[in-house]
Amino acid sequence: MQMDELTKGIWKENPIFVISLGCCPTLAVSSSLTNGLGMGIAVTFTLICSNLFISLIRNITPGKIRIPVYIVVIATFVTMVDKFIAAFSPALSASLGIFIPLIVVNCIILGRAEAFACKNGPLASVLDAIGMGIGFTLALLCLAFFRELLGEGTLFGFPIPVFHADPALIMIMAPGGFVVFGLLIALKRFLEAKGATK
Amino acid sequence: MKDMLHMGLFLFVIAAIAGVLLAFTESFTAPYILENQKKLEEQARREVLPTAATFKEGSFIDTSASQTLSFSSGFLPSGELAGIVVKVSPKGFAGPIEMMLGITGNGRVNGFKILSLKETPGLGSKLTTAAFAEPFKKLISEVSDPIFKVKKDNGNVDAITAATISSRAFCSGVRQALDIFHKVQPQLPTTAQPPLITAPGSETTVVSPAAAGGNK
Repeated sequence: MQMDELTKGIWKENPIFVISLGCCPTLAVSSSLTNGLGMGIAVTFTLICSNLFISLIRNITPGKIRIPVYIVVIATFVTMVDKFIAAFSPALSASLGIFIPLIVVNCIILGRAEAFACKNGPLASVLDAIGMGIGFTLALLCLAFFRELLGEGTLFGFPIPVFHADPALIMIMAPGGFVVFGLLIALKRFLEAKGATK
Repeated sequence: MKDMLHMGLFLFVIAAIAGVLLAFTESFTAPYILENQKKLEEQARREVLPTAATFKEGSFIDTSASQTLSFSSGFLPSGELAGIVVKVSPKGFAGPIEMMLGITGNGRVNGFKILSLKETPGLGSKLTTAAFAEPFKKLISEVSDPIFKVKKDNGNVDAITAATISSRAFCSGVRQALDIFHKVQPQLPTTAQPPLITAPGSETTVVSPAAAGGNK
């Protein structure tokens, strides 16, 4: 039962490919694996903190003001993450730029607070957050793998032979992001349909 | 009524906790962030003017345009002027291109570094790659008085294919920097006086046209 809370975010209820939450930062930062990984970790951390805290105060939070309360909680953790990244990893901070502060309005985090953490205990909420975080990070890495490989001819910044010779620039720009995103959703649905018929 | 008071108080408590947490985070990380910025700036200055051993911040009040230009002068280990480092931010295709340039004492562009840009990935963003930097470096080291305009505009600079606007912006940045150099040149100290023993960047001198007379 508890393990299910952890694993559902990775495949069955993947925040990007199934629930389709938080697509804006997904498309923006998935142009390179390094950015994708950094963003994934930042979101996972924020998600764990906010889910835990919101779950702890779920019984005393007045229902009418729960959204403002969630936003204050989330904004606090995001600002902390932002400051710590700027202090200890200036390179990552420079490449993720505005997308770190924008985690505040990332639908995944508010979505999980509203859909899960406010109704479940702290342990289940943390597991849910970890699962969703991993699912989000893996989705970003999948997208970034194809986009960076095809668009820049590199992986984590290292040139890959053949691909590096003449990369298709469009893949690291917005249209390429949508194309890869759509194809990956289709692939996931295809695999699921195949699994269901067997 | 009681309900409203309760909600207000609850939000107040949450916000207060958030405020305290943020205050701690800020006071803990601020020195590191400041240090990172300084380090970056210092690194960039050394890169664009490698001969200089020490740097001194300076500013110059441009009376004709009534603006303050800031630059830092770099000095050789012997104490003589090596050149100046200026930051300019010409308008690129998708926002300002922040760049730093090192200009030697006799007015030659010595080196450049792009600090940040928002140009199109894969096109204008090539300003930061060797494909653009190498020909430009060759130009400034080999041609005695290059025209900092793209070849399309009868200059000497090789533009990036499909990113003429970005390349033009870069060139205008170089010209701006040279312009600043020519404006501050008469007021530049030729030697670091008093000899710098302190850490670079810790002193600030204001060179205004009025004060410059006394400097000579």
